[in-house]
Amino acid sequence: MNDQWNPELLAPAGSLEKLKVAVLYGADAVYCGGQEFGLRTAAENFTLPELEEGVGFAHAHGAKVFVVLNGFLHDKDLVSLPEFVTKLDELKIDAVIVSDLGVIETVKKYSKIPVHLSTQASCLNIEAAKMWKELGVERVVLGRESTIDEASRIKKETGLEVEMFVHGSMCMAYSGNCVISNYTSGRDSNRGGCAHSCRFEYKLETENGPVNSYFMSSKDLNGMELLPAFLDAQIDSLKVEGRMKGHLYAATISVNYARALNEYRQHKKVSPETLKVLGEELQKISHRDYTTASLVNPAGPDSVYEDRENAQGEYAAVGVVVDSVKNDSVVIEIKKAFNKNDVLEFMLFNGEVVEVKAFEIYNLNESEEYDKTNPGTLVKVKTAFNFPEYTLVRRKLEALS
Amino acid sequence: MKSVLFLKNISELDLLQNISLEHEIIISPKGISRLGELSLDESNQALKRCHELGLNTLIEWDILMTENDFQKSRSYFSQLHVHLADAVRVQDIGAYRFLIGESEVDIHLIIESGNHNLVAIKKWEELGGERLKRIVLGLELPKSILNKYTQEINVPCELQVLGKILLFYSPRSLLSRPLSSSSQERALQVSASSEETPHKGFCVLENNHGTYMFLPKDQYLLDSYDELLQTGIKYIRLDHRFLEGEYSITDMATLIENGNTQLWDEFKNNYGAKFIRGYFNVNKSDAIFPKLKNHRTNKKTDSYIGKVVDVKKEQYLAVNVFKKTSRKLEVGDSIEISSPDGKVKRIEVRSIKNIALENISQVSNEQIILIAHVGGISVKSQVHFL
Repeated sequence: MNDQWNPELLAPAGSLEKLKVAVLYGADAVYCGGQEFGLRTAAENFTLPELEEGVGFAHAHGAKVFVVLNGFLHDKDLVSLPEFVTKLDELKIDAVIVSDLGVIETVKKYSKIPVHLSTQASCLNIEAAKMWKELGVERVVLGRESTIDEASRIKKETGLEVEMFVHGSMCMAYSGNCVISNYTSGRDSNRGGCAHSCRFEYKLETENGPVNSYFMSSKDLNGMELLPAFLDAQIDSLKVEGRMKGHLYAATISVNYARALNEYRQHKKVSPETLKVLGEELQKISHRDYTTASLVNPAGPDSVYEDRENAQGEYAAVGVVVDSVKNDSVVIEIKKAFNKNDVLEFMLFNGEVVEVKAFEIYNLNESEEYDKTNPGTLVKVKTAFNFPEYTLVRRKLEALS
Repeated sequence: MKSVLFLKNISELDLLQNISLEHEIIISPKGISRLGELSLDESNQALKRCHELGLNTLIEWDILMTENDFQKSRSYFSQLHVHLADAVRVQDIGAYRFLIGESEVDIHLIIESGNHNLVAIKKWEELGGERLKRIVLGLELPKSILNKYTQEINVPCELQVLGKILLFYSPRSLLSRPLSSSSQERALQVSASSEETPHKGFCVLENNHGTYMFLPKDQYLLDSYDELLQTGIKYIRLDHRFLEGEYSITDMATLIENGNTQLWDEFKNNYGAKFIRGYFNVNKSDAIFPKLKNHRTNKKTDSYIGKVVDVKKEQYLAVNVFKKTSRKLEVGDSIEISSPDGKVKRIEVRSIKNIALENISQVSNEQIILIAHVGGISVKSQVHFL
């Protein structure tokens, strides 16, 4: 193993706030989308001023920012792309993530921004990776059908940087090869309109009568236990899916994978005990049943999530620290209600947790004391701890009232 | 326009002698074709027969391949009598590069997924050079675009005019478990419906390469034949393999020969499943995007100050201040607050408090500030300098 090997943890940033959360909790890089050209049309996404702030914040913390331009664009979409690409170049983003050859050509023509090939292009083999390299791509985000072993061979044979998904929701189809939404909802799934039809329950008419099944819904990827294999294979970037997911997800995933990678950087290995402990942490966030999908062998029938979309974790994010009064109180933006005297867990950026009992909860000008809180509001919780901005506050679900 | 037909299975081999030489025949070997049913021997047998009959023959190699699958497919491909074929059709870019570099066969590039812009298509064409003889275009391109592309692309283009519309292609075996089937050989096929979509009766198929879902309605453009001609499309493809009813390759050949519109009407009337023209007239699959989110909550410009994150009636608005404001907000500034439901309020800032409830004249490093309450303004309202 190369002593200098230093894999990157790449986390999703669905908004400026989530970008900061991911970076503070240990992501080495984040990926985010602008208002156009990506695959998450309904997401908040970033305006250019927000991107500027996000890039500045990330770079100040030693993290990189990749911007997704991964829609399969039509001719009319390409008209406004050069102006956007030029602005991205001015903002000094670190790379764009692209699926479409027309977009690659445009990015190369109007900027010097490095191009990463999106998983949406379903690059799965050495020959394909070589072709994309010849087209100017510096990194390939492999299709989720590739095993770690195959990824290693692609990297060795092509000299390209290789990025693989290590965690998160998965398309059941070869990425970029699903147009269900286009024909059934009038929404182009490859330009950001995916209606998630694969998560529906279907009635299958079989020879033995109808069978109800979520047969197209994939379990969520969890590669924590395979981290040593990723590291042995020298995969350049370990990517987490989830730009549409919440702050607790961004923080939990970032901090736990970062802790594993930090142990590797210090000791050149990650112990089974660490993987077990961190794996347990990943159970605490909302998720479908986990699978290692195709990371070792092609995903089998047991990779199907045969259940309704009601997955819950052990914990919920009750809020995010948005400001504080030194040695007096923290201001929390409430995501999920909690009550006076509840025990809140403040997740520190290194993964440690500090418990604080919410003895006193006030509105912001302290004219009113609350017995319970409401989502979508800000409250002051009295505490002598000085928790920094973007500290996640969580609580065990069974204890929630 | 010339037509392209499928040899569905080996039992259709004897029918080939009745097929006019104006048609091309796609041979779909099971080992490398998504929906192929021909074994290696049957594929070679079919290639030989087509060659004897003088029919143009195309080998379909349209699966997507992981590296392990690619090595198997290369080996399989090497056992095919490729020299008897007129071209090989590929979608995987790895297979495209492999054919360009390591074979002498002519190539048809299938760009049915994505590739909805001329910049991309022209580049794929350039990479194929002399060896690329045809581009198979996707069904999402409307006739106006097809017309433009055929003028700009140097090689002939092909479009499916009859057949199932593929919606979904997965490498995973998705039917085996719900159908409790352990068969490795037999393809599984069911009709699927969901209460969450008005479309009923999706055809779902699982075979050795994975699982496919097709739209309940099938593509049918024969009654737009003249319009197709005008687009400049040179090859039209008729795929009878999963049509409802017992249609054969000769039925398809008969259907397309001589432009017999009466026959087309009869076929259409007799056909069980409904036909659609897909996106041939127009593609508006991005029209709904502006409605997917409230742009009133996202109209951040250079004058953006921040967003309202808390409201206490008759007491305060809490504003989360954006770090990159064009200038620092001060007491006396005029601001505009726009609510998610469209209300716009313009006010002068008379006081600003930080979160320690200290009065400040100018925002410096504060994240949350309190200003006077404004009626009608709710959380997520946007604050801008006037």
